[in-house]
Amino acid sequence: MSAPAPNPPQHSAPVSYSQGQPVALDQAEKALAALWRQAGEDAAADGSGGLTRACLWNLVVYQPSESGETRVKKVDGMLAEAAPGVPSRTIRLTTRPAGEKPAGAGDVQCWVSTLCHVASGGKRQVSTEEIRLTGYGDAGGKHFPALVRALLVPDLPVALVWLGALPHRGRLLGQLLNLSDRILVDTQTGGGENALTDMKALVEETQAYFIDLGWMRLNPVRYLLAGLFDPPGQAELLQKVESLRVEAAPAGRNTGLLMLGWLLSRLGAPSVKVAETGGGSDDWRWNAKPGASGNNGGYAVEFSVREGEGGHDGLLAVEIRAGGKLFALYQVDALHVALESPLRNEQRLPLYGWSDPELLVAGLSGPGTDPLYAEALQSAARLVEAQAWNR
Amino acid sequence: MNPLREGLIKERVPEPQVMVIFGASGDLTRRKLLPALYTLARERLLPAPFAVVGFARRPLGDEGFRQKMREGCDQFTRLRPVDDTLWATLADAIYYHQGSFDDPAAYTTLKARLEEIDTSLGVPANRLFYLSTPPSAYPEIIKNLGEAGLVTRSYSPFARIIVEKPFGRDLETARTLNRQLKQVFREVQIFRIDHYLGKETVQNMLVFRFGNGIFEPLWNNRYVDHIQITGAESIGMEGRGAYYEEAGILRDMVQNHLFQVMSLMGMEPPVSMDSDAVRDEKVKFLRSLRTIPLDKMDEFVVRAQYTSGHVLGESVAGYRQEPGVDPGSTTETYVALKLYVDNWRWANVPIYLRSAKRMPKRVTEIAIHYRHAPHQVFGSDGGRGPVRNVLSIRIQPDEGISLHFGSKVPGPTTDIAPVNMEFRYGTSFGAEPPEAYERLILDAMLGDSTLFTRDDEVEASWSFISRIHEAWRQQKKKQIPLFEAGSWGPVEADELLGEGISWRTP
Repeated sequence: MSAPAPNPPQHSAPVSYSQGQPVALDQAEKALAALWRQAGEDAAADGSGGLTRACLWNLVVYQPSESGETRVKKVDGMLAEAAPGVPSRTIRLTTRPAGEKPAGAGDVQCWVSTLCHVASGGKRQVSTEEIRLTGYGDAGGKHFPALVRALLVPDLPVALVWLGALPHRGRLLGQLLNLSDRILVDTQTGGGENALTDMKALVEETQAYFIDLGWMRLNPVRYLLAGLFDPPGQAELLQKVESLRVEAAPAGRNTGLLMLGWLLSRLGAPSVKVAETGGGSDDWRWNAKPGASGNNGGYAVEFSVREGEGGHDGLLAVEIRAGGKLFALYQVDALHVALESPLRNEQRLPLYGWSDPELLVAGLSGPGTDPLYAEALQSAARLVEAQAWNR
Repeated sequence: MNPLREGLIKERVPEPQVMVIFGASGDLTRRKLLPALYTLARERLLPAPFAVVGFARRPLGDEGFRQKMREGCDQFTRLRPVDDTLWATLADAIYYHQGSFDDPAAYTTLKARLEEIDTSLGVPANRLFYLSTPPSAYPEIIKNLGEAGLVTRSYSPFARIIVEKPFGRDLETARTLNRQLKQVFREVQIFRIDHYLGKETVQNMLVFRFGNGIFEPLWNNRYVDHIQITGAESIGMEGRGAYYEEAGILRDMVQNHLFQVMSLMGMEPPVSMDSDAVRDEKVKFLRSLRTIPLDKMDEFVVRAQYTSGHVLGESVAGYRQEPGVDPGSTTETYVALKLYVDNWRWANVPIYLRSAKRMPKRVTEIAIHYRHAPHQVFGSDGGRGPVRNVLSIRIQPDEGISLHFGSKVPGPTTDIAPVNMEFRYGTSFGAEPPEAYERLILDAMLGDSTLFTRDDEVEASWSFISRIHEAWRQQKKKQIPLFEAGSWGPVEADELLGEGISWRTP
């Protein structure tokens, strides 16, 4: 059967959008109310059984101009698809270069719109709303925090969705973090080599809950790997680890390091030391020094980055050698993995990866920062730091 | 301890296991169980690896059983259409084992089959047995499972059993069934399923009461005047007349579903959400129900039967005209009870509970009726006066909660009009609540018995209900009150209520 993971509600593509309407900043609420009135009248007129309007979250989505058109469109699609699972008021913050400001326009422009989905087997239409703010030049940094404060739906939690490059410190980030109960980031797509060390620092410094979609993508794989050690006698072998090896595609580099971080944190390795380097900058090797609890001799840790077959862009392989035996998981294609352990022949299993909208929904539905994530992130950051120190 | 498992269990994903459904060719498996498993698979909540083995008499074979279950999913699953790729994966894990419940050899071959599946999937021998058979088959199945060595009493690997209601038909048979179960299983391995407890609104009752600061202080005899609990169905016998003749609504609905709902509504706060902590409080509540003297039963319990009438635009036959029903039957299709709870919280607060077939509509709800304000300053000038506050918890359909209160009518007078503040699951969350069976099967896979009925709960509720049956037996009535199908019940039920109280129209 499929690899398990927490429950992402099923959702569908939006069935209708209202056209985004440009409005004055102080008229946004009024304009939204008018849109809802109209939508309700339309639903009554066409006999579709009325309109269900739901709102559980304030989603503040920040997309700086450097995010690029493709990324912006991807996030648009992701939010629209996730909307029935997390009905929300979405406040989209976009920055554009000052030179793109239309003649006569203010420093910040505002559009409002509603979107509607058929939810739960076509029984009901669920509608949510969006306020889009575009700041030109440095206006966004100056005005966004106060505008967001004014536009939040009272008494609902606030999630800051930061899906581009990972947040760098500054007034805007600081103020948005202060407003937020939960921060959603994606270390797989957001940022380069320093992403994990930056994230570690941010998680340590910030009170809000952090949800990393890159970490959540590892859930099904973590369950399957854990399952290899469930049969009697197998878990004890984890006291005798000889080596760990993880392979990832270039786009899954941070995800692969997080996987390695998780394994190290679970197996008890308080420190790592860089061993000899491999064939190039894409092959890293360390020696893990064991904790007090086990793995007395220490063990080798290896991480390599290579192109995945068939364009697969995530984790490619995880191998754990322990007690003279190999436990492994290999990505066969986008939908399947192969599992190997001493107690079973190689077994091919379907692996239902989560779509980004499903991850977003699950991230907002879950309880908060996963304590294992904080530990895995710390271990992964330690690997990156050790590697950087060695250069 | 497997260090890689640490933290994963929090996400409520069960350990690898094989589920065995006895009576797998029946309607429940096709309509509820497999659709629930499909939805769990779709929401990535099934264990990995996982397999399900259907056990029944009919010669279906693996493929035949898979085909039948696919048809069931197509028709009944909540998330339609069925995803072909996902179904193909699930179908690979579905097997069928032909056998007779009373044939010990069938259990020996079942054991061998399960061991083969364990080996091919590389899973530990974790078992979840599901009794989806007539209750008369339970003792034989339980005994044979034990004798075939299919049940381990250990924690790992585990063996659990889900038992469908009815859990006996009176106190004596309930005790017998509990004894039979416990000869083979420990109590922690037994999951007595009452699908009402899988409903979101029923579970929300705990959150509503104990997760909010403002309601619990008002949840006692100082503020509550009385409580009405309604479990109404618009359908009639639907071909189950012969069964109903033996059961009646008191056994079919009240002893299990409505008593469960009532005990969650009335119990004291548990010390934690641990399964035994919650169930301890439910048992305490049930044991606090005031015993009704046998010779005064009619003052507290009204039973009745529907005659022909009109329900939801259809003309319907009376109960005695239903197939399988004795034309002179005195089996109750309607029952109303006036209950008192002898404890500090509910002293002298009557709980009116009614349940029936062929009511105007299907609805289950709890309505807490509050006392009036102690001093009335409105309505003395001839205008409309105050209304009674009612908190109603709708369990089905349109799950939600509403608060009924009075508000000033706009204008120059101080007229008061009743208004409602509403919470509805659909509008607030934008999502349909999951099917009860999805939640309950998942909980049983996880070993979480909070939403299942414990042996002492079953016995406490039967202890109360069996006394009513005993009184009725002693009365030997040849006739019971009648009411027209499509109405809210007999006039005799109105007389149960205190002065100034009427049954609510839900």
